[in-house]
Amino acid sequence: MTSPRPDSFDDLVLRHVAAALGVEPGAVDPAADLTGLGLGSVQVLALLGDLEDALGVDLDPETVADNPTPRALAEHLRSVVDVPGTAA
Amino acid sequence: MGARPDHLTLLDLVRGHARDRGDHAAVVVVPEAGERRTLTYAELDARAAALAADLVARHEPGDRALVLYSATESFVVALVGCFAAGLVPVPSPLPGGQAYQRERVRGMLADCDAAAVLVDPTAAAETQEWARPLRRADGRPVAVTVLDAATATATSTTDAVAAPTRHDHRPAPQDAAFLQYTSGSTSRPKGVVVTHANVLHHHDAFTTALGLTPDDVFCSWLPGYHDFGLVGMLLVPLGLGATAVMVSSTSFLKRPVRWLSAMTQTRATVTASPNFGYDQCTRRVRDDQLADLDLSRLRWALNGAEPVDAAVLEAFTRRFEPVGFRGSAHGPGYGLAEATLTATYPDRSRPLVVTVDDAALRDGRLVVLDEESGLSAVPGEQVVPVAPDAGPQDAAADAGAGLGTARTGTRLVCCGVPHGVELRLVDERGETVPDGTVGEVWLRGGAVASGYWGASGAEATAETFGATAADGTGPWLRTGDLGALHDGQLVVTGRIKELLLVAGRNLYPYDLERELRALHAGAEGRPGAVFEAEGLPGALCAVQEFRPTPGARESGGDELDDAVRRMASHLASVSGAAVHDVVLVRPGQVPRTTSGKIQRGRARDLLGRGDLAELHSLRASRGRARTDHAGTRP
Repeated sequence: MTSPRPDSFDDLVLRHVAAALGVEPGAVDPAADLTGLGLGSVQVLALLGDLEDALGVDLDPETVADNPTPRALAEHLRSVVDVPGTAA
Repeated sequence: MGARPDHLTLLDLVRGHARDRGDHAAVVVVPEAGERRTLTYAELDARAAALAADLVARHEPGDRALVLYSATESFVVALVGCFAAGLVPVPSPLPGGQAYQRERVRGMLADCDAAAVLVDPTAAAETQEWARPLRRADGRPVAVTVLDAATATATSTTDAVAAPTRHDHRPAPQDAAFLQYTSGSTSRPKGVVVTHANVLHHHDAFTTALGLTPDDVFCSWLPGYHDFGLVGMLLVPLGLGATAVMVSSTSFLKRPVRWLSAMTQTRATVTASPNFGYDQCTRRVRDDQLADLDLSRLRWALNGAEPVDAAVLEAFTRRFEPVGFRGSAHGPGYGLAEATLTATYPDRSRPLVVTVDDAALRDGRLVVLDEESGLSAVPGEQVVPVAPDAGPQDAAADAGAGLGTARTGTRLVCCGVPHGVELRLVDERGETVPDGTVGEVWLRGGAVASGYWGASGAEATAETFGATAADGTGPWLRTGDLGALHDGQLVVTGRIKELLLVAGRNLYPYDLERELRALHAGAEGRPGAVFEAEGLPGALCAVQEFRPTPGARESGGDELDDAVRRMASHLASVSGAAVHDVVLVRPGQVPRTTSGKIQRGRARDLLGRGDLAELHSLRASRGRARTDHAGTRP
């Protein structure tokens, strides 16, 4: 599994969201709701599957309801992924 | 099967399997993580009996019980437990986190005045909280029963638990077996009342037509509140004494390979999915995931609940033939919840795909130009005559290039022959149309349900279930679906309500949508909706999900311009109608029902209100360009 640096979670999420929306990562507003950006429920689940594969974690389908924006989702991932070298 | 006594129900069959093959797996659950779990017929019968004893102690016979779906054995225990208690199970999705989901489940609960809600322990807390304020019509609270897998008993929020003695209830064939709520794209949900007699009548037709046996292994990701998942992939295997393998739909949608892995591990012989599930596999299963798959035991890959696309079947075969999938396993059928599930079944002795003349189809006639019996996995081997416009490259090249004059064909997937129902295709006067003529599909027979639930459904029941044919026969079920018979097989061509009547022609939105998405790589495989423009009869609008070429930001404007014009050009030349607008929207913007059906009326409303995230539109491109002719070739 990859061992992303903490600040790369934002990039990872934006990259995947942008791919699903068919836009450039820079064009995705990190503070906008994913559903408001146009992601349907099938795409949200596919996004979660891709993020799970990238990070080696399990994500509940409710993850996006609880963390509806790219920024909040990245923050959530940071909290659930065990990043080597950053443990206190 | 013909010798079965008339008074039996599915419950008797399940109890018989518990007696005769009690150690055989009834249900196998493939969880997202961890070990597979198996429930044998003996265990299923015992747990259902314990639950029934609990339910009988607190509910009246005939009470409705909302059974919330989780892809666990407890869902199946709940169904059989309700049968054994004389309760009517109402399969339902979990209320969920979103307001509209909760509203939908609350609407079902209120419509059938459910006395109880049965739920798996994994969703107990949120369900109890959701149900607390709910009241029945007479003001009583709705009881929540948590189905406890560990202790094999049910724990309820109210009352004392009765001694778990077997309550030997015997439902009568004419009793309601379950209520099946339909997605109902435009109207509010209606609950189809499916009787025990309907279930067994359908069961006999389904198993006979497809040659199924107790040794078959069914595997599905379809949720158990969907008729295809409930009847086809749970009740049919249970009635047979076969094994039903459950994969959660969430698990499948996250990673489609999980469905195929589950089939590999459980040596599945029968599966089912709407068209889009096969498409998801073809698109999202990675090369490195193929090595662990073996689909060689699959006898039937059933396909229904939405229009079946020949190109999707072919692509699936091509992708998975190397891991043992046989193209002959594709089994497209036709059915609806109002007929329990399936009305027409695949028949391998007849053609799978027909290529029909476009111009004739627009006049309501099926003129077959070519037949294909099996779908070849080898590209280029299939024979496709007469300027087909199905392939993306061909379509792109042909767009606007004389499509109005050339004799062009459309490939339609045949949906098989009727079993267990009588099928007629009728015109608007109820006259049976000749073979090869498009008419509305009417059905009658033992698998046709008795109607919709309750007083609220009475009007819809009369309208849908009470049709009388021109020859005086009836009642017939009017399906609202259009099709024609070819060589005894039903070929579905569209829906009555979605039929576009423009420029004196009958146009099927499905066809136009399929053609449009083949015009550009950014639209390929993505949903779109074609409808008549609001307030402009005879003028067409298209809304198409679109993904611009990644990295092509500089030229993005040109790409989008090119795409909308190609689509407008195609629409205009094929339909002969004015094209009011073609709007490209971000993926996920075209509204669909939970089962994936395109909601064209809603798409029109959203467009009218400006509520779609537009990438580009024909009207915008008109503003940028020098020419403003929709039908002009790019």
